[in-house]
Amino acid sequence: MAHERANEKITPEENLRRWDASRRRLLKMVGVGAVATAAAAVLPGVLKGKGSAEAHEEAGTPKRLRRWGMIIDLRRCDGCQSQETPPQCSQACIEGRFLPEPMDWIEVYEHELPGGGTQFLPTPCQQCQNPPCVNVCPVGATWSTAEGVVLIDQNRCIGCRMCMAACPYERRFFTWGEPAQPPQVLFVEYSPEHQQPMKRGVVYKCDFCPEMARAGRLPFCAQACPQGAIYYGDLEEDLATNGEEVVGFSQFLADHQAYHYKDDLGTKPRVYYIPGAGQDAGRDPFTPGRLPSEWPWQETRTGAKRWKRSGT
Amino acid sequence: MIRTALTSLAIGAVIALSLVGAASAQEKGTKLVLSLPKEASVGDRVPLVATLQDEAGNPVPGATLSFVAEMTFLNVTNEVLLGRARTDQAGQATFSYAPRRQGETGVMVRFAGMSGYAETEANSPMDIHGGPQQYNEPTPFRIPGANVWTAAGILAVVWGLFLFALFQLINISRQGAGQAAERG
Amino acid sequence: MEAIRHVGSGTPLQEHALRPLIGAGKGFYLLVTALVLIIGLGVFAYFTQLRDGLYVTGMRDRVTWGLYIALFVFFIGASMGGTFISAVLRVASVPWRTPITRAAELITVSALIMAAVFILFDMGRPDRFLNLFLYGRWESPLIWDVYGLTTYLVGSIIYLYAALVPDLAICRDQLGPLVSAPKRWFFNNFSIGWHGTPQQHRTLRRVLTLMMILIIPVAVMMHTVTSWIFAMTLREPWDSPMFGIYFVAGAIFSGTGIVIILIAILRKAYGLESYITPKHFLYLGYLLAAFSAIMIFFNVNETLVHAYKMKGHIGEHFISLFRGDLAPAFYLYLVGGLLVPILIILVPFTRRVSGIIVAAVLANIGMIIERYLIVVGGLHVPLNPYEVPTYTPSWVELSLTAAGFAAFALIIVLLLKLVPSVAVWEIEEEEEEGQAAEAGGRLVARAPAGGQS
Repeated sequence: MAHERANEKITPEENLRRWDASRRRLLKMVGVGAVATAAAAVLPGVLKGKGSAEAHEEAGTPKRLRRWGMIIDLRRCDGCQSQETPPQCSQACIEGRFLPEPMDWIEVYEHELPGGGTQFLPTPCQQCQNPPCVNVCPVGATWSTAEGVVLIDQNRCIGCRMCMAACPYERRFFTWGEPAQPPQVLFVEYSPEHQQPMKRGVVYKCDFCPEMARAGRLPFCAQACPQGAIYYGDLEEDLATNGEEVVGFSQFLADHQAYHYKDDLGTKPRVYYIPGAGQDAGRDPFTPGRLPSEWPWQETRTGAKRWKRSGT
Repeated sequence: MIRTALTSLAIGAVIALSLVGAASAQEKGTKLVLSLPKEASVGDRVPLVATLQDEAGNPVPGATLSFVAEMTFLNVTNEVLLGRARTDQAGQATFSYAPRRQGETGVMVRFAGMSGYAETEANSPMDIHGGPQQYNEPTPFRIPGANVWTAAGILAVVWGLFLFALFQLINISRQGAGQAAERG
Repeated sequence: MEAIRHVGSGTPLQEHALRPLIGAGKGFYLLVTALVLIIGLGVFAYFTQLRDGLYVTGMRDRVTWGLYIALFVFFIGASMGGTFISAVLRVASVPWRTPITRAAELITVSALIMAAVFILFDMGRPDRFLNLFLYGRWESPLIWDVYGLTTYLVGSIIYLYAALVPDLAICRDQLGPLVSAPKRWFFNNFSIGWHGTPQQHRTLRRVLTLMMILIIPVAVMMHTVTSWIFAMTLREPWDSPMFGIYFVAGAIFSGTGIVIILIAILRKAYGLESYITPKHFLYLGYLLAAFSAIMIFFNVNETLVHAYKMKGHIGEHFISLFRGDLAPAFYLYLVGGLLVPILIILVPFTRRVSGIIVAAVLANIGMIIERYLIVVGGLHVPLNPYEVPTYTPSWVELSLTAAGFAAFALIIVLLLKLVPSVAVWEIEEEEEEGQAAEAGGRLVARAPAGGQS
């Protein structure tokens, strides 16, 4: 075609040398590119992140694993109206985990009942067994343990917040600013099971207090509930307790028509609710309102960055 | 006249007293005869048989018996309801028990009382041995073929074609070099 | 200030297309300075964000994604429009494609780079960016997007480069002594010894055929995978299998608009009126109108099917859109972004170059709003009983938005100083075919791109 114009200024030998050089360069680029391509295509499968549930099981142990679960008896929860305090479960979690405002890992929501009146629903992380958050995490920073608890590794989280978009219960929280924490937290060795000390730019949520359960104690929220509405249990041993009573987990659920929150979404939560509106605590379902959660320990930190759940 | 009244009063009192006597005699005493295995293992399903009889040994049908045991969980010890069963015509109730907690378990069967029958309870110790894992989440549904190798395969095909295109571009340079050498 | 040098023995087309590569006029320096200043503002804003965290944005726990993700989706859509249009037009051997393919391909490369940059802006821990490659989980839609973006970017670069090789050869031959040494080095080496021999043409056709066919499914997959970032969640307006095709249609729509805008600018700036004719605007305008109609169809479909039943919390979503704080943006998008472009192109009076450019601009403003409505609107639906959350972009987000668009423009402006703004060799090829046909005095069927030697 029309482009056969030799460049008069360059000799053919010179041309040949240049094309040789450029071809060698191209080959080098292509070679490196090929290796990188092959590696990149295979890397995700080979270096699998902690997305699989097997990540924290020890091989070959015949010991029976716990399967943690929670039962919240809504007949007893009145949002601490009778106590005239903010909900004690929220307060205990805030104090026990040094949560920066406005993180409320077990937030008590007030739902309207179809027949009128309201009920209080303490809503921790539901510890789903088909967890949308674990499914979508790009780096495997969140995973479901064999015991059924969904944990977060704040050292791997890249802060993309896809898990927050995916959680249908909206139970994941982000540290938008530097989280102000009391100085003693700096002596704590970090573990995903207690998520202290906190970092900026990563995601946090209720962790079901697995360390406390292993030490034979109830989580902060269950300990603090004045009505004993929160039971923490083990589906393997089929027992649950609220600190005073001990119940057979499945018997208790069946006897009181327990249900899951947003069951139709198929997330298979480990948190069960027993329907009620606080009647066992002497509450009239038509009395709405509870006191808002407080972050009292944060008052001791001046200049702490506080943010709101929405809006600046 | 007074004699007639006194006599009828006496007869009435006798009748009343005998009625009262009959009534108190209807709150019969009961007893439970237990036939529980002495031991079991986690994962077994054992029948706990309890027979409810009155003091005369007659069976008490249609009674609800509760099976409870005292258990400790997370350092809290209290009574746990294991289940319930109703007595049949022979006064026998069978509760199918699948023990989940290893250790000495004092199973108590309790009858809370019914109209005409007094409450009663009886216990029988059981030794539960360890067993395999009981609670497992059902295996999730996996779409056949939807795995990392499919994704990697698609990527490999596409990038392979990219490489082929690059090699073709290298060919162009080689063809140009040959051409220039010829014309030189 | 040197006098603008002439190309030399080149044709008028080469004169127009290659002159910008020789030197830079005042206008160029002014433009680049302005863009760099805006980017500088963005750098300052990003520095603030790195120092203080994402606290400086308007995003919070409830509306956890905002302007950054909306623009990320927009730029992916813009990218798809570029190469997709170029490839589809080439596959269909549409003759009028030749002056616009180069612009379309440049848009794609620049838009994909900006899409990746906006993802980086949104990350809470950008220092852990490599975790995406070291610990990537193939089950995650974000990883599909990362690998899809990389694949599409590399494919687009290969496609752009393949169609560029003969043009670089023209530059090497025509501009040798006229350009600076680095540019000369670039032309000499990256034209990889193209001399237009029949053998080389055969090889090039093979590459172009392969890439033009391959890049179409890659482009479609790319945008479908981006839509799955939203569709794989359980949030009510997002939980729809229709998102895939909806995003693809929107991408082609906004991409066509950006191509129209860019070729309009090139036409004016480089005096390419004889090559980028009103016919091009007309045909691209028809494409724009067609996809606007498709977008209207999708919107009507989604709204009607959901609103008829009012299942779950979708009713709150529609109240937010039609009556709530998102309503002004929603109506602006529907009317200004979808209806008006169709009307402009249907009404003969407005169906002129200036009208079509206006339609393209409106279409893109509408699509930016639409991406914002998808991202922010989806997060507006409360998942628990609390009041509808609010979100207002902060100055940091707005600055980075402006800087993002400036960078997008700057990349294209700088690339245009390295490569011709139109595919000179293809236009020349077409002209020769046309002359041969006239000389032959018969209708010549346009040879398909992959067929002849």
